[in-house]
Amino acid sequence: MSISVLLQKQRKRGNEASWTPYVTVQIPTMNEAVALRCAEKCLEFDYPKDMYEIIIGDDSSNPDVSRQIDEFAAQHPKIRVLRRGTNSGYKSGNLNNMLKHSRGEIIVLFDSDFLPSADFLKRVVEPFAKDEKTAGVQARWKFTNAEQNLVSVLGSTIVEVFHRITLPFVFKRRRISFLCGSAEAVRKDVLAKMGGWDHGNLTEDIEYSLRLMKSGYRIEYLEDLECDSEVPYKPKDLYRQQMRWAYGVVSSYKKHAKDIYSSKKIGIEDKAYISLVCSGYLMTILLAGLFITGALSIVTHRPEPIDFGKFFIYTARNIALTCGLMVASLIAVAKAKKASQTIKMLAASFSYGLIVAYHVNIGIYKALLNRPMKWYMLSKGGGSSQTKTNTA
Amino acid sequence: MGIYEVLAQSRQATDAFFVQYNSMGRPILDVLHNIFEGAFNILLAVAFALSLAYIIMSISVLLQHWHT
Repeated sequence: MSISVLLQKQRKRGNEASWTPYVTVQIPTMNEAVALRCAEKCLEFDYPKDMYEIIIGDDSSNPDVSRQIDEFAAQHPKIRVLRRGTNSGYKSGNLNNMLKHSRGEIIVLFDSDFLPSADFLKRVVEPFAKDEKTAGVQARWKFTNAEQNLVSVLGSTIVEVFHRITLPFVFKRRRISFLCGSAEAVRKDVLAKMGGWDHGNLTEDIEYSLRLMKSGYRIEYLEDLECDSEVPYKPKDLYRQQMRWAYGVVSSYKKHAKDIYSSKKIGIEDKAYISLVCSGYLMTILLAGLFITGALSIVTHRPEPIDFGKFFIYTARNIALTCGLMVASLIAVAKAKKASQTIKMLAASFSYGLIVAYHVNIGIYKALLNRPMKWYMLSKGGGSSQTKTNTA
Repeated sequence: MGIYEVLAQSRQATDAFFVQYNSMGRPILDVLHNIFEGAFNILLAVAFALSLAYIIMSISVLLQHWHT
């Protein structure tokens, strides 16, 4: 019996290692020539060349960028370019269009500024072989320009907290994770069965993650598999990115919260951890609320001489009670081996961070009030910044 | 009208304002103050809980990191 069990285990391991499904790599883009840099990296995957294809979903309105993409694709037969002639549904609309033309059993997604390593494809498909219920795999994001300026330091810190603290903690405790929109892989049949990506959703990754959890599927987080990418380095880009993410997360959570809490497929602990992950932006709402109610409380206080000692003691106490996110940021920065950036991170948090908090609050209120949100293209490696209004 | 009379009248008006303020405005402001202070304390408690969750997560991840 023991030998039989050992042999079965070895056979299973062998099957996992040799499992090479046909994969479609999708790169959605709009007016970003930087997508070609990503496609170039995808051509270097150490994966059987006949077992994957690359699709660039080009929504560009700039003919120069489209021409560059066409010229590149003409030199590389592995690359197909799909165009819709519209940007309807934004990224999720583009992904749904590519889904219709994808031949892969597994779909791997990259935003145009991502630079995967040669072994990325091989490693990202591995978890699918272990468990049929695994419908998604997310790799960790890493930034090539994190130290560019205070804005990029702050932007990278926000994501580092999610990728180095929140996701690893939740995944290790409950084997729960979320897709992040790039450097991720999904099972095509499950995605098709679930009706594809939510058309027009600004964070289609979080929305799909919640749908998968509701249906009893799993998402794996690969802490050891990192993928290089860029972080906004212009203040306006960071504000817009964070506002869009806050809007998308709150909209998606609002849409599925009732089903998740009433679902019998999800345990109480899992429900708590899902809420914890989705509550990351709640802290900014709370801080804004504390600032407003605190100021009003002082203004309406009975007139009396100001006791500065008491004021500073209470202020220090309140900061100490609410500094959890800052502690998480410091640890995330240290884990990312960027402890030298600590001073810059603190400076960025108390300068640009306050404006980011304002925009995050705007995003959350818009989501709660069902107001439409603008979609912004961010500057990436020389890409241009454009805006469209989401009427979906 | 001399400057002293103007000052006396303005002082009377100010006194009258504070009499009204003490009898009518202050009770309303006291109620508002209690509401804002209560809201502040509730928000502080929620923020503290969330903050604590992040500290626990961070320490747990850090310990795992050192362990491995």
